[in-house]
Amino acid sequence: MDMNMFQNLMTGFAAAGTLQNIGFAMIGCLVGTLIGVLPGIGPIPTLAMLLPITFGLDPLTSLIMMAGIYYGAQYGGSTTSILVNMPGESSSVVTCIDGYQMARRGRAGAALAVAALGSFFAGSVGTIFIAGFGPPLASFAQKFNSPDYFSLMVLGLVTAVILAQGSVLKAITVILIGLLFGLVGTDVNSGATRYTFGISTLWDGIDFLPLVIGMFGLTEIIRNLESDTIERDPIPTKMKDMWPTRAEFKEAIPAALRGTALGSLLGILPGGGAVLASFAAYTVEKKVVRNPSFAFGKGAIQGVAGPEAANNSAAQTSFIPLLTLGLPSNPIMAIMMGAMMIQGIQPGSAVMTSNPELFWGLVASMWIGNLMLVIINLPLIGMWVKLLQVPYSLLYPAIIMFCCIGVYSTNSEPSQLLLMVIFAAFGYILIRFGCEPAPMVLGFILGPLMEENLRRSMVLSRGDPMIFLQRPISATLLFLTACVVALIVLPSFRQTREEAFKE
Amino acid sequence: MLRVKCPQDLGAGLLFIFIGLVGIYFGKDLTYGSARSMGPGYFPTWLSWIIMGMGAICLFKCFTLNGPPIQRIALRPILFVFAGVLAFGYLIEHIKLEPALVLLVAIATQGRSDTNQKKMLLLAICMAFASVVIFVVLLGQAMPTWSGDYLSAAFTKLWSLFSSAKGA
Amino acid sequence: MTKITRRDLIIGAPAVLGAGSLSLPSALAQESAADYPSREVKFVCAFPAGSGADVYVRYFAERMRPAFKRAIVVENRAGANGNIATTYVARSKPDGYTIYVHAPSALAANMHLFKNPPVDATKEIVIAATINRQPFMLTVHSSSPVKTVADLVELLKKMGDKASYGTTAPTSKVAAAWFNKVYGLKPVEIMYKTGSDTMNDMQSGSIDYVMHDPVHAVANATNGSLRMLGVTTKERMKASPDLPSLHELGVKDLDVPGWWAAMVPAGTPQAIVEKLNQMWKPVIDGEETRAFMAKFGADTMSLSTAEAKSMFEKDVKAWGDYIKLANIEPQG
Repeated sequence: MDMNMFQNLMTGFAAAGTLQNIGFAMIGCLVGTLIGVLPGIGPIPTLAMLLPITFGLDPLTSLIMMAGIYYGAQYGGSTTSILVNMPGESSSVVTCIDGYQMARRGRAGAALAVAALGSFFAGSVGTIFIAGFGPPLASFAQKFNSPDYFSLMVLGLVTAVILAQGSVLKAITVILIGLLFGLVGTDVNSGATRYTFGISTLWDGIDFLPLVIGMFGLTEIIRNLESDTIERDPIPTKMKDMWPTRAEFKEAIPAALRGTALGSLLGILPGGGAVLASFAAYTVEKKVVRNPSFAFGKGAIQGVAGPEAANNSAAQTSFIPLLTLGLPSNPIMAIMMGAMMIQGIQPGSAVMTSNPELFWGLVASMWIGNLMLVIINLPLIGMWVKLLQVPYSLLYPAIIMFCCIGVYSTNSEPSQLLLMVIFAAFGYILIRFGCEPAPMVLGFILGPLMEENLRRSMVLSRGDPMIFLQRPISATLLFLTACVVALIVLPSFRQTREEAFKE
Repeated sequence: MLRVKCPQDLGAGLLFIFIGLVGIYFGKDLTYGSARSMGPGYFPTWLSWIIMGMGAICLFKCFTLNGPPIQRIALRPILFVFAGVLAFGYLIEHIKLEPALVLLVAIATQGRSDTNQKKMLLLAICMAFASVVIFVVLLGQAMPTWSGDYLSAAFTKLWSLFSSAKGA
Repeated sequence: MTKITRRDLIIGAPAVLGAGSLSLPSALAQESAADYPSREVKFVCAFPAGSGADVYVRYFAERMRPAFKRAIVVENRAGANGNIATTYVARSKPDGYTIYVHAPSALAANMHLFKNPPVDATKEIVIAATINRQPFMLTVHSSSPVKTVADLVELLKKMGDKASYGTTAPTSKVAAAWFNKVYGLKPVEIMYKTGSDTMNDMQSGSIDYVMHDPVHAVANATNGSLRMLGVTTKERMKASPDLPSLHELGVKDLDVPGWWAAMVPAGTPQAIVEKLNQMWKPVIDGEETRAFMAKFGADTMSLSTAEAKSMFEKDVKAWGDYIKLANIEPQG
């Protein structure tokens, strides 16, 4: 297999390495980075708009460009998380926690550089992963049935508790509230509408953008406006000062390695896989790293390196189900699949044998795309950091404008802006009451999936909950969940007791 | 007598109980079903009860454990930022994008008392046109604008000039 | 977060209840059909950018550009499974510049899936040109011993209520309920959001058959993971001539296709409607579109405006019976 993999990759690089393909990879990454930085216009609408253009390109070139946009947007989303605490998509919510804090203490450049390098490393590993183990991993992912998915989500939600600082009780409740918010809208099974209060925008559920932009972007602006001095500390602008220090690298590298491994595995699972990856990576860092130079939540570089690496390697391996089984694991993969079908290619295991140049070319292009991303983004770091030197009193009106346009553009409904305001208020109150809003996002995304799989499992077992323990995958995941619960509960119990005794 | 030792927990507890109650109240019309065939109300009702229970524990804790106070809630930025966003949302279809954006900035920047009004207005106007170029002209978003068609035409013209110059 | 499903291509499911005021056709300032179109045209898509349905709409926005000789902008009015877009189109100016590229079969279904549909589809929406016709497909996993519909019926009879089947959309539910009823089968229904979601449970044998949308079925039959046993249209499809229809196999008169069309608000001058019909026809009948549709398991269909109207009305009536058959409770 090793020899084959090498040969295959050579085929791939030969196919993908043409000047035209590299050019389109470059354009894709550039466009992706730009739209990733703007709120609202995510990769999905951009890909959709570009779809007609791809009719005219050859299949590999069009896929390479689309993949470039996908990576670029992933990375662009992290950039805004670090700079202005505004996650463009679910996987960069976690990056906000420590990335933004790093920016606040003048280390935005280091955070961006670590994110770029970590992503590149993770992307490269992810590519090798696909080349070497794509098919066996895909057949593993195929073994996941409804009960297994349910247990996986339970595990994911429980680990998200560690994400939050402070009270475990509040963190759990905030996640549960996220689940409840995720259920708003039309129920798939019965068609009944839940918690929509007669507002038609809510019939399809609460949109992701008003929720995150409200809870993170707007809330942050308000919190900045209420402080006495609106301007930040001066930010170093010399390239030397922006680059991560040796000590920072030393902390970031192991974190990136762990993130990469976790992301590569979770990425192959459809549904919440890639989102879970960044949340899980953060959790792992927080538990594994004993004494970080900066505490988690206060700008720990591990909190940027781990999740960023995880979400990028997951972005790579999420291609595995599409390429080997013809099953899209997320909406972006579904568009890629549409593009392939328009080109007359039926995604699935047959592609590897019937169209090896395309398959291996795409795999090789992933690495090329990741390289482009670093080449584009490392010089841009200087520019982004300069942007932070614009006085905040001029920056924040622009951010509010972009937030509003982005949210409005999702479906041209004024009620989306009302939703954004409601979530901004909610986020503000949560923070005031000592609750961390980030874990809520995970609950929000997993809520509908979790309910769906729970209901389906229970119909399949005709009402017997033992199904979750009878299936080996599910049982293993639940066992891991129990371990994590023990890990969380024991120290917090001890702490509570100590506090109680102090009284 | 009970003494609130942790106001944050008191707030969180009340908030959670409120959300739980809303969930239960508005979920009561949904079919509950059974474990074997769960209706649309099964999962949300359970969730709401648990959230309420958690709220109750929080509330209990606020009387027993010491904790930090709730930081001051600054009403001014909240009110003006929210008002600006809502004004934008409800006016964009009537007065189109550019004026709506200017109005948004004009209202939202009242969130601070030290705002330089003139500078802000100038910034708002420039940013409004920049937004039309980015979102409408370059990204092709369908939004009502005054200047979008003209700016698009100007861009096409510039582009053709540029490409013919390059060709020659 | 965009929810994307290939099901979106086929038929919308549930819908909204909104306020029901509509703008009446204005006789003023109507331009003559000869000058039409004189400015930018808007295609409305009922699903988010990037969804399967959006691929269709943007494909036609691209293909229709030469015929319109004007810019075509795609506007996504996603939400409430199509009803937000439907209401939006029904209320826009009936001048031929707002064109709704969507499935009339979904509008027909929505008329009955909801207690108070926001738009009276046949009265407020006019079909200018039809686009395609697509079946749902009865499928089993390729590892299953079942090779024909007869095998499947035999297996399901033996299993009784131990058997399970999957559905993914209202049309899928209706076709499956019809099939079960004809043969007196009692499998338990398991609902899925998309075709992809069913695959793992199909492979492990947890569900015995699924009524799949053609996009998913064709794609996965080609790559060898599914076996298609029959289509839910009365006649065989040109895109899959070897696949028998369930009607010919004994599920008498089963005919639940999804179909797509370009629609305009009621009140649009008839001359413009006819002109649109003529503009779309060559594109729909063209080889390129036929090949594009065939990839999604669909046949192109170009009807006259009168034929389209009667097909629409027939569909709206038929859905009244369908939801009773499939035991779907209309939602408030």
